[in-house]
Amino acid sequence: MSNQVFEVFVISRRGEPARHVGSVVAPDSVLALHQAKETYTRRMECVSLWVAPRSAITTFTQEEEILFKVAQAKGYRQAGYFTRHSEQTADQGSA
Amino acid sequence: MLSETELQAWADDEFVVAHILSSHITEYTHLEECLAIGSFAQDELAHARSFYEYCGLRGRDLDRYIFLRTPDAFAVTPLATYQPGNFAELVVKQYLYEVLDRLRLDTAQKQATDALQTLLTTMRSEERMHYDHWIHWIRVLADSPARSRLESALEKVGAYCGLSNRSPAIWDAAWYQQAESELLAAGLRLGPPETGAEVAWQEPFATLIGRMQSIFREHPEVILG
Repeated sequence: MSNQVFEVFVISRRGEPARHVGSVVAPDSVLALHQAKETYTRRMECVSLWVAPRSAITTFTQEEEILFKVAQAKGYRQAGYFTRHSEQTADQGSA
Repeated sequence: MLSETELQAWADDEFVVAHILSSHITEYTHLEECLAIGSFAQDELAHARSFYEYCGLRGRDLDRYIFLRTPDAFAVTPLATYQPGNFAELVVKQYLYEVLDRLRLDTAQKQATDALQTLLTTMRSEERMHYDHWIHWIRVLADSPARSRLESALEKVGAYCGLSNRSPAIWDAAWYQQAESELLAAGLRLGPPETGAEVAWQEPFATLIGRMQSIFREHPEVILG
């Protein structure tokens, strides 16, 4: 019998998304659920509670966080961007 | 209808169970389990207070009722007074106690007036959480290297409550049958109730109550909170 870390998610009201509130350590998911209920929801409005083993969660590593750097401008997604960009570059060159 | 005597006896059980649970609140398996058990203890304490208040005991009168009564004036069941020596014993005690509470609730809700029904309905949802927790621990420990501790705990708690030497007149058949069948499903044995003398649980209970009441008895005039 070994303990695992379970991440805890609370749904405060019906229709709202589940929100991560913390974690618990427990031998299995049922006890994790019980412990999460008593730890995180005694004074919190809650209609449902999820627990999931941290080991079952797939995520990016810290080194991969650069993948989340969003381009400042996404003009390249618009039609005509490359034509306008080429024209602007040509104008700047001749100026 | 439930009598005041029956309600106060139930309250005494809930109070003592809460006191024992919370006395060792930092000593359980890990922090989250300590928090969960602390929460259960608060539930039991609230049930006790609600019953006492329903019977007209409030404020300082209630304080004096709890902290100045002699141990033999508490109308407790032996099981409620058991002081676990390890986690397996706690699991066994609490499981057996929650089986008893569930049966009490079933009976009480059939007899209760409207005023009491609201309290009993709240109790039922909280007690259900307690029961689910302890029966699950029974199953987890039964299927773990701690199984032998669980088996020892069943013998020890059983002996304390007189399970192995209790007369059929005292023993509650419904309680025994439910516990026996659920434990059997986990491959565990409760042990048969047999005729015999009652076990002496009163002395350790008297020590427990004496310790609990010591501060109040020294300073009964002090109002805390």
